[in-house]
Amino acid sequence: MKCLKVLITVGCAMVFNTVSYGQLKPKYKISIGQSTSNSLTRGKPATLTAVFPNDTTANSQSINGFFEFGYDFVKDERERFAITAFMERHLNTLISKKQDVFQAGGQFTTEFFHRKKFFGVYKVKAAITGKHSDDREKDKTTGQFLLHLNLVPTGQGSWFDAMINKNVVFPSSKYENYKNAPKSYRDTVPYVKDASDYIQWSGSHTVGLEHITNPRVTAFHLGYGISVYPFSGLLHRVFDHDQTMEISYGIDLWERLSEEEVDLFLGTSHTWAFGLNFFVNKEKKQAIGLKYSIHRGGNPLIGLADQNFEQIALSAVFTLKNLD
Amino acid sequence: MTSIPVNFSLTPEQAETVMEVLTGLSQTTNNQKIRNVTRFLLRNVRQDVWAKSHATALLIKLLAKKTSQVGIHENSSLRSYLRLTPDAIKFEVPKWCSSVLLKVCKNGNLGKPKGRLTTKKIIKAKPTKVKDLVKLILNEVP
Repeated sequence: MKCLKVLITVGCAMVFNTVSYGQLKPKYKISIGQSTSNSLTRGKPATLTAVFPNDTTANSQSINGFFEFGYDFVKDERERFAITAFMERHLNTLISKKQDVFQAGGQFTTEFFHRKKFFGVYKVKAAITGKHSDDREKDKTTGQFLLHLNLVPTGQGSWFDAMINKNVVFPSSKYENYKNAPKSYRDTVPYVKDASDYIQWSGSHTVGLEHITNPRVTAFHLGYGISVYPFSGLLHRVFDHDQTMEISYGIDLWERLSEEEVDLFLGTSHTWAFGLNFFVNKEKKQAIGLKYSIHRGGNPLIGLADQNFEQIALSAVFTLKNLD
Repeated sequence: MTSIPVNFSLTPEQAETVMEVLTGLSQTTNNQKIRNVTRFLLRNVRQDVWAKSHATALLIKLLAKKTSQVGIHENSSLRSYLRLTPDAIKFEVPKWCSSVLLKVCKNGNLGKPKGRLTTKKIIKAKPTKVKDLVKLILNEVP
């Protein structure tokens, strides 16, 4: 109940904050992804797996994803913020230490140092999240308050920008560019294979503070993930899009800041994944694919206990309408 | 004089020749009607053929310099190939387009541009390719 009150207070604060901005142009957005916790998990796809055995064994399934609806408020070209409400489901009955969590809450995202004179070619994106989490496996409810920051490049995407931002892929696809060239250009300039034909990469990161109310614990969270796309340009000739094959590695580190010992996973978790993306639309940030992943460790936010497991899942990430 | 739509299917090189001939013709004749018609044709050729090819060439040259990316053409994607972030498209691209616009107007002796390309205009147009920017520049050519 206390959590609910805090959530309502946070919600009201957000609403009053919007009133103070004069000429706002709200634009709605709907997104689906893995988890709203931070920009790293936001960019990851939602996954769905289901097993329906014919014998007496119970059906089992795995769902990892969120559905979000919200508004982007644009004050001027440089200043904007977003308010969203979301529902998140993390269910996995395929593993030994089962996970069954339903979450709902709100998120406020804004940007700092976007006027360049403060911070060179990067701006800082902040996401403040308040959510109510119902762990049906452990039969307990909890409130979660998260503050996450990450750097967003504002200039041209260098190799380093690609290392820290999921939306920048390096090297850029020379084959696709050549394919789209007018015929007169292709007739005069021959295509020479480029680095992007053999490899491309992109990464994402997040730094944050997380507070969980039941059991009461505050933790520092550092997350980093990198995806490598081998033979990206060469596979473009078959599948008509880049980044078909994806090999990724992700690391999440939770460091307890509060003194009390708690019965939650707070440590380092690793995820290795190999996947095929059948449909990719970079402009609209959409992707559908099949992914095989290996997990080592847990996640205190989504009720995942410390364990090792592997899974193959259908993955999907898309934003129906968004500003960037 | 009533305006008559005139369409040419000229290459930039042919346009240069036509422009030379028309300029010579308008300067040597004393007939006011011929002078008016040649001036009108000259403006059309300049805007329709010369300005487009000149603006495209200038913009590609500028983009190649700013992004250090080779192989840029009019269908090149601003985001996935030139790697321009949404912020770069909003804040850098208007400056680059305005400088190209000024150069086109000056080199073609077209007069003062209608206005500068601002962030607002760029955002409204939602450009995705180099040719979208060229179209925006040509809109401002007098």
